[in-house]
Amino acid sequence: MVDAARHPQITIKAYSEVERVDGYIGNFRALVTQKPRYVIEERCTGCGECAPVCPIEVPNPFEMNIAPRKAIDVPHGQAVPLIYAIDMDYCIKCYQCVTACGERDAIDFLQEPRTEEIEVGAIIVATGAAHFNPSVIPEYGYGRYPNVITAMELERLANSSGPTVGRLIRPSDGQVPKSLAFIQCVGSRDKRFNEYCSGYCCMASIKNAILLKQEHPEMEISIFYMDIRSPSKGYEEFYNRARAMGIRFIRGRPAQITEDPQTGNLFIEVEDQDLGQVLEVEVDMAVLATALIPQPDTQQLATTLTLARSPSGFFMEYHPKLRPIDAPTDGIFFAGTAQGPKDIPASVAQGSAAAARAARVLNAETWEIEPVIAHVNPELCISAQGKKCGLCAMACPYNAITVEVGRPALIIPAKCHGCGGCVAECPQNAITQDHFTDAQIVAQMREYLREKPEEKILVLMCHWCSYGGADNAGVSHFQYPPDSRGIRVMCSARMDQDLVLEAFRRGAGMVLVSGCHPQDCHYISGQQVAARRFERLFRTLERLGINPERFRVEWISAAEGEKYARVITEMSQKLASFDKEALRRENEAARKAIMQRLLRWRSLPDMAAVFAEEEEEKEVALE
Amino acid sequence: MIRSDQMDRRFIEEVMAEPGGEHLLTCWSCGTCAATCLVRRFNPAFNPRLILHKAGLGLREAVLSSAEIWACSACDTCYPRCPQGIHISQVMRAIRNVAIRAGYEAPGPTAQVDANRCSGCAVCTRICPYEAIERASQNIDGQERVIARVDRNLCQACGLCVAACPSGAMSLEALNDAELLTRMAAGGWLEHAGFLQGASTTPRLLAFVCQWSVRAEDEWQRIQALNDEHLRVVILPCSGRVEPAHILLALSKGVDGVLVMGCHEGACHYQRGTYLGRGKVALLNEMMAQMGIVRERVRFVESSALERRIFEERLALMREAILALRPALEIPAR
Amino acid sequence: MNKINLAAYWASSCGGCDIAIVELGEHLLELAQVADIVFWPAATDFKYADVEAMADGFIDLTLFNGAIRTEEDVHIAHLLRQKSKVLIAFGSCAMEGCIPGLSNLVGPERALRRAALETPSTDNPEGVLPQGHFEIPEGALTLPRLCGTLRTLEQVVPVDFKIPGCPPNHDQVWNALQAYLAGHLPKNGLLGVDPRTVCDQCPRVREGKIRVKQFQRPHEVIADPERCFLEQGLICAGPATHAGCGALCVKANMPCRGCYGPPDGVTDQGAALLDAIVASFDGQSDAEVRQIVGTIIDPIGTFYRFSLANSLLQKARALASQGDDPCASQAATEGETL
Repeated sequence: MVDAARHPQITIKAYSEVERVDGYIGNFRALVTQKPRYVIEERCTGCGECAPVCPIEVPNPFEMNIAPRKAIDVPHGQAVPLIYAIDMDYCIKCYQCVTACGERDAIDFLQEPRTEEIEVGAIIVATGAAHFNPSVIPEYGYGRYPNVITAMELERLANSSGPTVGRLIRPSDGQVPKSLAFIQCVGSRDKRFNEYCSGYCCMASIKNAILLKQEHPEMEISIFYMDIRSPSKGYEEFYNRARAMGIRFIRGRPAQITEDPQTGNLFIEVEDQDLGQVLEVEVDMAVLATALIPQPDTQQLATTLTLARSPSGFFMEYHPKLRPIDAPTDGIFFAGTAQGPKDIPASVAQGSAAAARAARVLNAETWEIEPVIAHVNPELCISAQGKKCGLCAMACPYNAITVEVGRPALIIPAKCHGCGGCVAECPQNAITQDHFTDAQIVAQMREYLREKPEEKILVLMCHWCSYGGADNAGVSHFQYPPDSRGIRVMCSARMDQDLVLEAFRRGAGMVLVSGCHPQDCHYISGQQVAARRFERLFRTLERLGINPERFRVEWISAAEGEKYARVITEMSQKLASFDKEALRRENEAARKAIMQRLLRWRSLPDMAAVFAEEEEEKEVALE
Repeated sequence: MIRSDQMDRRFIEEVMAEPGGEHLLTCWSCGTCAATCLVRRFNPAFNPRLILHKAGLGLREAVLSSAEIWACSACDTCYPRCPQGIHISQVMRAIRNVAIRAGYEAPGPTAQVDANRCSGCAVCTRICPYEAIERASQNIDGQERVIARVDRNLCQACGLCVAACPSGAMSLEALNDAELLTRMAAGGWLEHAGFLQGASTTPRLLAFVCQWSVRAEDEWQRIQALNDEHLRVVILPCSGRVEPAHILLALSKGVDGVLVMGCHEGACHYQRGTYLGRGKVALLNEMMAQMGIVRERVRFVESSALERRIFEERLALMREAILALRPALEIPAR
Repeated sequence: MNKINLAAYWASSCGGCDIAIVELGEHLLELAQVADIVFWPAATDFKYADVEAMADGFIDLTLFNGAIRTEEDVHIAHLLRQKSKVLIAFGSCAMEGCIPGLSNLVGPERALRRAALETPSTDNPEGVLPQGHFEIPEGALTLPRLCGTLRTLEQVVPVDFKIPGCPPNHDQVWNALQAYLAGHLPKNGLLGVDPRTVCDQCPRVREGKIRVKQFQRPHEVIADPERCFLEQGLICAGPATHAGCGALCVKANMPCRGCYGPPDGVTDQGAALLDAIVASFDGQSDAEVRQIVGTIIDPIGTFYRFSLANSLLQKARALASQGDDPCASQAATEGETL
């Protein structure tokens, strides 16, 4: 950290918040507010004479609230920068610190927050993680029994710069414990709280156990676990060393901890699975290895930076295997536990990786972007005509569209990933997507449905999941009837209602739209936009007189070849059950109403060529 | 050695197809339920983890023929602690249903109805937490009568029906009134007058303690060791099993106070026995008040498997309360 | 064949039990064939002196009804015991104290004050109370004193058999007399009863498994005449009451009150009924307990209406307060078996 602070090209903005981020890869503009320390940074030497004279003690989160610190203090002795700050919620302005500071005169009670805009080319999010609070597990007694502590609290109690100067004592009576128990997976691997494994706590507890055992050889240390996860280099050997030292490992998840109120000792009840019997283990102290959880302000940061979150709540990476460092928003990268629970070597490795990924951006003159991006036709956009809309911006998962009344919607090409959601959402059909225009899609539809359309199932599938799923079905030899004809678009968000209606207008027997599962969408929230749209479409079809059973919406992933085959088979069977003549009549009856709806769309210049070939009579009077 | 041909996939599917059995395979055998289970303290062979694991392996015979699958009383203490969110008592029920279809039945003990005494009053059908009792038409000595019938596959032998039956027609071995009376009166304990008659300097107390409200071995040993001429501890299978008649008998013999210790509300091992125990004591207190007998002499107190030393605390409180009655009742000092 | 000598006596009673004997109706004619009535204050004019003059055991069968409330009751109880071969506690008062037993809740002084001074219909402006001893020029007038506690017959003298009921159902009385005359006397001491409890004779539909959240009193609701009272939230003592009356009250759409005493093998009827009523409580929490118990008005009057005097509850109270009781020395030692 000190090296980083001294580096000429690195500026550390400590005690600051990122309020806003605009722009795109290579061209971000971040609004950063530095909170007031009430200490003048340039004058504070970090001498530390102010803190001892401050009369106010406040909770010290660094010491896990075991020990206090003063209202004027630094987070810890190795803080970088080593500049003191005053917690104004507690300061009573007694001026003792001012007196102690003396000639340095570094204290300024009138200091204001300072905001500046910074231009950066890349952003790395390394905001870390928080700790699970085990008081929500009543059977473990944390918060009720003083001698039940968390692993982080143990870290402080055993640390030579901690509140007890490294002497491990137990909270109830200040005695050095003669026996200690570690309980693993507290809040992790638990469907009631967090289903994931936090990944670092097995090794951390083993480390603490070895440290304590070295210092207190006669201390009885037990670790209660379900599994010991020691995957990385040297980890398993470390685990074996712990066993050889006499640290007791008991495979069993403790059911409860009770306390003897007279001695403060704890009784851990657990089934030793290897023995097949229930043990009641009396210990002086119990340490809970708690889960890592996302920071409480994760959502706020996600909104500011347009980041997505995984189901566990941590920031979501572009792809868990192929691009684990990148955020879905180009130019933003992750390092450390902000992206998911992991241990120190993994965090450090990710830090280097994020730096490398960011360096690519900073060293590039130009940046390659998606070719399948969207464009707004300023003549058709009603925002340009002074009306309030903005549906396109609401559909965009990347905040790539800005809408101001009086101007046409503006899509930032570098931010557009090409999901096509805005294209489909625009009620004015003012947006087109390169290489996936409506005309191109309808042209494919025309060919598919040229002959005997009522015997065919038209499938609109998203590229990343359902198309992959259909491909998977083929490669895996899952049989399904040959009634379907598939059209690929990038995302289910692109699948306009009009396309579905057009398919029925052309006489398709059935239509299937298929996309990713909600948590899998390549474009983060594209699938959700599509899902809402298609819910409405069922009612529309009913009103048009089209049997809603002819329309189906499915979420099929790239691995679900079997599901794809099954769905097509079911639809084929259903199609076979319809009387074809009745279908034709139904289509005929609905055609006029559908034409009415599609009128404006059909009159767009791009679409004209597609419809030119047809011998549709002018049944409907143009407005 | 168990061979793979004993692992029957169809058995697994059968259990999972039963309502409640859906989550059988997500159990990863962490043992939390096994260590939580209170039944296990009295029946060491019962291990819910092992049953689920065996069922998950498809060991049909081993699971269905075991006596242990009937031992779960559905107290659901394990369910909120399961990290996989498995409703274990429901899985047990699913397994039992499969067993019943295969012709197995619960080994017992089961509450027994004395057909000659039973009037079919239906009181027992209302108290059974497991709805194991119904009224059914039976032929007794040539006469068709509608009397109680216990479904042995649902009966958990809690004894609540034995207490509820007002005509003594229900019995359960080792839990009958005669047995409880023997324990109360053993060694002539009931034949001494107490503090309130001026015959003792320390109040003489009788304690009915639910066996599930105290968990730890050392706790029980401590409590048992407290038995002496001033304290008699009688263990009940459930605080709902307490008999008001026994409490009154004790009071009529000069016992100064009766403590009934049961589980916290909602935490009864048999689902609602503690509620019934409270109900009885509350109603008895009302009658005592009407009769001019001091209410503090009969109390219901709570404890749970997570607490220690509650019994001694409550005992001390009751003793104090009774000692304080001396001036009001003008008991001559001895 | 020699006729038997039959006696009937009323101690503290309402007279209903004597009417029950009269209700034998035409059976009285048959009775007259086999029995001579040698003492029956309700119906005949024999005096105490006549009884005192009898030899011990002269009376074959005495039907003693009424509770032991006064010194006179105690005296005559002992007298009739001495003079009778078989002494039967006839009716609920004699057997278990019945309604008069409820005066044990307040004690004789309080009861006397209420009766003589406080009831709305009493016109006693000078507050005159009965005296045990009053001197007049002609001599002393005495009234038997009230015992400190109301007792059952068996609590003062040994009793051979009991006939329960308030009053005993006249059919059952005839059955009992016939049993006696035929020498078919049961082992358990109760005559004129049917096996099991009132529920056995009750025609109502019981679905079972129905619990209630509150209890109501009979005047608050019109009960469904087909359904079990308990399942409608009305307290019925049927499950804890000996069968024999044929469920008369129940058939008239009133819940059973328990006048036939406890079922075989049960000593304390109120405790047994308490068990049965609590079984119907619905709920899980302390608050619900308090709420339901709050709807049970007058628990002793409900559960121990007839059986308070020789109940365990009574015995528990007796120890708590030892008042001055002029009848105490004449009371028998009680056996406390359950």
